[in-house]
Amino acid sequence: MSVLTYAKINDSVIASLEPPKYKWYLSMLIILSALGAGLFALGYQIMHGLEGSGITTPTFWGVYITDFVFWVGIAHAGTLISAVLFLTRAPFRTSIYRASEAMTVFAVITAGLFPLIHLGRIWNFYWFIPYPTQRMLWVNFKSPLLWDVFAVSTYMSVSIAFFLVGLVPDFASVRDHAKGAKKYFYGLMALGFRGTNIQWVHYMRGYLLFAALATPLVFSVHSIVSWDFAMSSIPGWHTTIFAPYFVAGAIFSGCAMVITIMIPMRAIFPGFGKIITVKHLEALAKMIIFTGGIVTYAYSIEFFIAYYSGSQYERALFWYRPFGELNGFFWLMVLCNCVGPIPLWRKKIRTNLVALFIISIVINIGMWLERFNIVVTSTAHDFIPFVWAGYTFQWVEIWVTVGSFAWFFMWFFMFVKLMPSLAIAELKEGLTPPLRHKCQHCLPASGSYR
Amino acid sequence: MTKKQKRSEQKEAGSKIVRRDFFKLAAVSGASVAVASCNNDPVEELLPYINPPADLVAGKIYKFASSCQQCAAGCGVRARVVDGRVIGVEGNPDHPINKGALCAIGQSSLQELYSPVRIKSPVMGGEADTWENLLNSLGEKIEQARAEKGEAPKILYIGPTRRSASVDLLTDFLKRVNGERVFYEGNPYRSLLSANKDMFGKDEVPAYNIKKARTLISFGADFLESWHSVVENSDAYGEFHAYKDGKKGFHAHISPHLSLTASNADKWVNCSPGGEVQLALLLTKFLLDKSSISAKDKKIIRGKLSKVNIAKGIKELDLSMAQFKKIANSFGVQGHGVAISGGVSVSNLENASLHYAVNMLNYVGGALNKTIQFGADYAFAGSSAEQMASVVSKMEEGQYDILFIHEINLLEVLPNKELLRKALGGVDMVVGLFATYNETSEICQMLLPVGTAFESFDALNPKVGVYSLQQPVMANIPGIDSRSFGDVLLSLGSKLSDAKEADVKFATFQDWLKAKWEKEIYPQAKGYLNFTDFWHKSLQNGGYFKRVNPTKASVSLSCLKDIDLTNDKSVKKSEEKLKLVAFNSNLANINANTGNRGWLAEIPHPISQLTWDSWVEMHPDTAAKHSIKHGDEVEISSKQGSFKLPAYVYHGVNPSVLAIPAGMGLAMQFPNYSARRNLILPFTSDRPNEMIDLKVGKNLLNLLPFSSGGDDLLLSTELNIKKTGVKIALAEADGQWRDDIKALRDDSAQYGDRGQKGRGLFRRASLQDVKSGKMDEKGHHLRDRYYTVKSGSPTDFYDNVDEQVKAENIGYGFKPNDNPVFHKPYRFEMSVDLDRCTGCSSCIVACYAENNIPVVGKERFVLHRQMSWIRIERYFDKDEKGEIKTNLGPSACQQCDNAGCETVCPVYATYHNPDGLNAQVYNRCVGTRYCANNCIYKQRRFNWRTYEFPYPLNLQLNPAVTVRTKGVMEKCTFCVQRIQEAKATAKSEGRLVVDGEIVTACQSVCPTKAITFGNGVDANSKISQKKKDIRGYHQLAELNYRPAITYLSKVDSDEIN
Repeated sequence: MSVLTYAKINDSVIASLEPPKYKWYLSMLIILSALGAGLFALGYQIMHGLEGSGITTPTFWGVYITDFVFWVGIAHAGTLISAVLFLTRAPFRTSIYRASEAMTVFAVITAGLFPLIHLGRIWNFYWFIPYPTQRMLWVNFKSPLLWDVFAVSTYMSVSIAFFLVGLVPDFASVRDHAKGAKKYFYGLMALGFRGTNIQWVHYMRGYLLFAALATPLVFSVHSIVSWDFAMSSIPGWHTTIFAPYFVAGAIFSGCAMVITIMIPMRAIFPGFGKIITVKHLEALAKMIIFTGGIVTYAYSIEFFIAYYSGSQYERALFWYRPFGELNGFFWLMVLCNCVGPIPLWRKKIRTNLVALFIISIVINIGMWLERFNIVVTSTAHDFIPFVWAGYTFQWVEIWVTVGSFAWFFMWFFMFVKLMPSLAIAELKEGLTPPLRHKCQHCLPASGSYR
Repeated sequence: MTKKQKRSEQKEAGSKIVRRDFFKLAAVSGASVAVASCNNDPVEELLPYINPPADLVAGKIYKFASSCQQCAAGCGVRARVVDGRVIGVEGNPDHPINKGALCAIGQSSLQELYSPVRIKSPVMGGEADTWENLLNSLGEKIEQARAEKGEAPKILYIGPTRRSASVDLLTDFLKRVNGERVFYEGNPYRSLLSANKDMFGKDEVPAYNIKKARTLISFGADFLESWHSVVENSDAYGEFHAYKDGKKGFHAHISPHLSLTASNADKWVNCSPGGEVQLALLLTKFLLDKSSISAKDKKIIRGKLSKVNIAKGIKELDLSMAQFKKIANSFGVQGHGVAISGGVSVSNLENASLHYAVNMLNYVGGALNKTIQFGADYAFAGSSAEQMASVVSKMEEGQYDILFIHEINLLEVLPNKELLRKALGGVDMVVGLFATYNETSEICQMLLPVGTAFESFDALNPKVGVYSLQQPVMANIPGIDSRSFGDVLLSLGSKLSDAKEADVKFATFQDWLKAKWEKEIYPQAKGYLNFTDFWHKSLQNGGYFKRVNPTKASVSLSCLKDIDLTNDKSVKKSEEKLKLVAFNSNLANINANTGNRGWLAEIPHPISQLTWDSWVEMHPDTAAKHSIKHGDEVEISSKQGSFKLPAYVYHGVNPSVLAIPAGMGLAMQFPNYSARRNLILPFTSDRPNEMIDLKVGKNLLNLLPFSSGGDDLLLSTELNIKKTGVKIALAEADGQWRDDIKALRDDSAQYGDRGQKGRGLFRRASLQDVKSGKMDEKGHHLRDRYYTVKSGSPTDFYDNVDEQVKAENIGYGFKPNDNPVFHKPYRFEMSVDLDRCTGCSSCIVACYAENNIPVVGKERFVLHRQMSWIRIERYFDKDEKGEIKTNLGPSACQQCDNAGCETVCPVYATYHNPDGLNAQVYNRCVGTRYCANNCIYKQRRFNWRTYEFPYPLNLQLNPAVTVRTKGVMEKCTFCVQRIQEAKATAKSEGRLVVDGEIVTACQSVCPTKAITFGNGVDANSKISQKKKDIRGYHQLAELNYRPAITYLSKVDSDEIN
């Protein structure tokens, strides 16, 4: 830490906002073409109906809902890191929270699209919103899908607000270094923040308030998403452990996604390596170990309950998952989510960035598969044996999924070039303030700044 | 200055034309241009109801009695007509044959009427022409043929087997022109006729009095699917076989193949071909001593059966002595038993001897003249195969100048296509009388579009005493210039030179028919004012029906001398080559006229649950020998030909045979949904898809030589089988093909376990249990074990409920606080008696027609995207003795009171209506599909795309039901449109709906009356009585969805157990 100074932090973060080079444009080209393919697939689906995706009778939900839960899960780490770890004063949060918060915002924007994409008649999506109509049509507040609408939109608005509030002092820093139109833009975003003491006092109070507001949402959103399943009657969905299981899974996948994003960022932007230290990433790895344990426990307890309940439908389903036709997805999920994090128990591995990166990707895949397992295998094998079926992936849903990743990364790439991707002000808090000769008397006598 | 002055001033000022004049001129010239540009389209066809009949109410359903022409059974139908077009067809309750029910094929006749390949106008040499031109030239041609010297007929008519007024007219006509006629029937009735003639002196297809019987043994005869009068038999079978007052008939079936009839039997004896004869002989021998027949006859029969060894014989048939004795003893009681032989599965070399053996059994067992009755003389038997072969060879020799082919797809119903093509080539002029294009119409020089039964007059006489009228119920479809067969014959007759002598005085066939009835039928009738009164009443009733007493048959056994009954050439389980067994089903049969109808192609065959294709059924042992797995493609070859089919490997077929469905392999047109898969331009999405030609399955006749078995077509040959190595995606409605499901037996073929896995969806109970009322102990009556829902106020989400209604509902069986919904004054409920349901799938067709359900095609069926609101779920379960039993029954939306679908819909597109239905508002649906996920019965269907009803199939759509588009969920709502109609009528009359007033589409056609529908709140209604039945249960009752469909469990007969 000794090499870091206020100036260096400023420089390296603001350097990341320099005009992009060809590599950025090349990546953006790839991203936009993938997004275009996804949009094309979506357009095809809107025009011709849902038959281009693998969903069918009885697996009425498939890749789209899997994607939805996956992205909502990803969206959890950001708020957890920025709000919950802020309240608990975990020091490793500072270097990573801005990027993970951005990740949250973009992931929840992506997630919010999927309940619409999966609709049979997407053009009527606004019927989900309780608005007064002359026809006196109202929404059904008993439906967990409606709870989703409110949960996700609340989470999205709060996380966007929290994100932007956190950015205010940093926008001010960038504004001070910017020229021309940029200065105007960042000035607007900085809301006239000048760094006066009174502003800092208000700012910190507001930030704390937002953190407190966002914290319960971390737990509520994914609980509510889990109730989409838990509130129904289908074996494999109808279970009380879903809420904690889903929240743990969300944090698990979110932390993995943060690692997946941080390690390349660290490599790309030269100054970041010193700010985002291995120690910070290791802390995330520990979170993964912990939540991975919860997830593994949840998997096994589901099997136990299926056995212990004596319900033949549950038993049949939980026999089907590991040994049935779609068992490849199940075993791959176990491999990724239960076995995958085990190497992280060794310090040598969790501090090895290459290994950490690979494991984080593995967990991301595993968590997608977990959602797929829950969504698809349960409906594929429920009460009426006559209508049991499997699942075949088809091109529209694959391209829409690819497009959703492109959509997410498009925002993220724009973010790193437009906004300071590390929290300048908070990083500076962690340093010893530079001493100015003129103003030595300003220091508190005790020198106990920290 | 006045206006006039102004105008004259303007004129003078030099402008030659003033404003007003200009407008006048422009108006006149514009109008004349507009008039001139109109072409001479016949406007009246576009406005058929510009002057509607005086009493016609738009949108109201009118029912017209008529007759079904789909087979020779001659059922009476009622066509449901709205705004001048038929939208549905159901049985005529006044008709003595079908008594209000109708089979799947009969209902699908709508798809013949509205077929996209209807012939639009007369065609000569591929070019459209007028009726007048073609009839004139055909008349000349007939004159020429008549003028030729020689006794031999120069004109040949081949048509379907019917006994009808139009056939009488045809006979007259052919007599005039020295013509010959042949009636085609693929089912083996001729050999039955010969046996009956020889033994009983009656050259006719008898009536089987199943209703009166106690024991029924069917020898290959699929009398519930395609043999004999199916709807009539099904109705009788329902009475005979259903549990009633502690009794139930016993049915045994012997055949090499598990047909639907066999699956309904209490005991299916799986035999190799020829085993049927053996069983008949064994039973005869066993019963002979106790029989009451004369000693002389006993001696003859004993001599005939000297070689028959009972102990050895039943061992070969895998029967136990006890089972055999029970069947035999039950059959042997005078007037108790009835044995039926027939069906295409016995169209083999043993066919003839089988009928003699079974006749002998009926005689010895005392069934003759009691449960087998002569005198009805059913019109099933067509010309013999020998006659057919002889006309084909005469055709080849060039004897005929003119050949009329009438509604027989000749190339697809006879083997050896090359020979047929060659023979047809030997005829100067082939005239096709078809309603639709088909394989045979392609080779006709002249095509005359004849109307279907819905467009023409006729009168059927399917059995003695039944005169069933057929009347046109709608005008010709716009753009289709067809004429009824009778009218064609009349106008053709008037073109001939002897028209005056022949007294052709009738302008239309209707007049001819009326005159005929006035002369022939009216004198028999009593109690009518005059003929007009009789005619109108007969038209209303669907015909004239009188009771005819059976005639007694006497027995002569002298014919048995020449019959070799005991040849055991096929009984032994040899290691010889596999034999072909053809089988008919309720959806397609050897007469090959239904395999190209969308509904029938899409409805699964009830046993195999396969659609849109042919398949070859083989035993797991056979499959193991050739290392074939379920769903593999195999190449079937005989000396005559070969084709590739998917293998369906299961227990329901004998190891010595391969079973292939008959009547498949027809071409049909279907919208090419995949064609625009790559088209992405939005403005094309509204255009209908072009039609492509499909071939539904393969025609097994291509494997056979054209060798007549004398009386009947021989549908048996030796087959070779070879695996091709291709795996086929079967369009199977049964989703249990997963290879992870543990098998019932050694399952090298990977057929999988098709059982209910202990879920009790379609239950069986033993006769003793039902009689003694011990059902509860065996898991029945789970409906009383609901969990209690303690909602503080039951009025949270629903309308306020007054105390009286509450009291009524408590009386109805609910406890005060566990009521999710209150009903007043209706809760519509249904019950399905599984003991009556045969699985004939008639209800499914009715549902397709009533509710505008689209046909999705094979490609989508493979992905389980079929839209049918009813499915016949079929499970194979092992019983306690290790025998595999078929459990099947209809399954539709259960209209749960505590429904999962309703609570999860975010927009109230599905909600509970006050009548107890789970209403579905298509317009409100956004397509989240959450409801379908949460439906434990999986009874909801999603529109994965917008399906099309290509013209004129769209004319069949029921205007009372919305046609759904992409992205919308749909399901059964107990025909809510019919409920609403009845409720409106009742309301306008100031009363409640009466029990039985509302009949759902599925209920109306059910041949066995298995479905009961009504108001469950009314304690006196039929449905309330059914619900109290001790056999009643709800599917998945433990999940507390409170379904409105009560199933009554099937009862196992104890005769054999």
